[in-house]
Amino acid sequence: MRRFLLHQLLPLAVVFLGIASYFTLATQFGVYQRLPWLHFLIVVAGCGWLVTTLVKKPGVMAGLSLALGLLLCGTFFWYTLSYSIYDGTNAGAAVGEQVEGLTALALPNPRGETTPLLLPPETAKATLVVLYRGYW
Amino acid sequence: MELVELQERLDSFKERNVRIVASSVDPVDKLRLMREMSGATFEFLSDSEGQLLDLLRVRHSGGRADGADIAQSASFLIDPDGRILWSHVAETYRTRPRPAKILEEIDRRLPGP
Repeated sequence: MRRFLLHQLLPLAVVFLGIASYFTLATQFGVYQRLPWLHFLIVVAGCGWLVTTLVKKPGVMAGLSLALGLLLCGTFFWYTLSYSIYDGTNAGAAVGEQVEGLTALALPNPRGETTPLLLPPETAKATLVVLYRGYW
Repeated sequence: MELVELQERLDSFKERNVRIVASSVDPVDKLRLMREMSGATFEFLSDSEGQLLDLLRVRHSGGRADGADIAQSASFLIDPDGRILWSHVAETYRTRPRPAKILEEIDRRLPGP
């Protein structure tokens, strides 16, 4: 039992920790990383530990633990390297470009009033427009 | 969360006379929920017809789970004449600019009085 805990559950827990810590850091603490290298390293280390266990002590449980670890690891890599990358990213309006129509654009605010996107220079030197994907 | 972080640094933007506007394709009621959830006091605008997305060329066609079009996550610093002073278009939620970076860009592009 102790061997099972140490050599199979513990490395699986390491894989899980690598993934869980990624989501915790991003969602709870706003720590965003273009590529989460540290978390990749942790999950790969957990899988490596599971491989070592299987090589040293082959068995059904060791095989199943490794399969589960690889599944978690693969899913995490797929999520971070593919799924979470937006399809068909446009470059957007270029810096220096004067966008026709922006000065006249007015949109409704949460109070239901129509509000201009841009204000005259005496009111605001510039406007930072933050486009977010929406309330899910 | 990006909007929360911006709210935390709102005074720094006000000191520079830069207004913050958040926008999505959400209808007004969902916009209100998002504003309340984020605790933001700056303006939120509903771009339910995607006019702003098209003007800024950041429409993510079919980007929502139900296949509807939404915005790519992006930030644009725009002067009163509609000129783009700085922009950041994210390819994933992990690459959004931090307020400190935006303030740095503002200082570079809009020097003080």
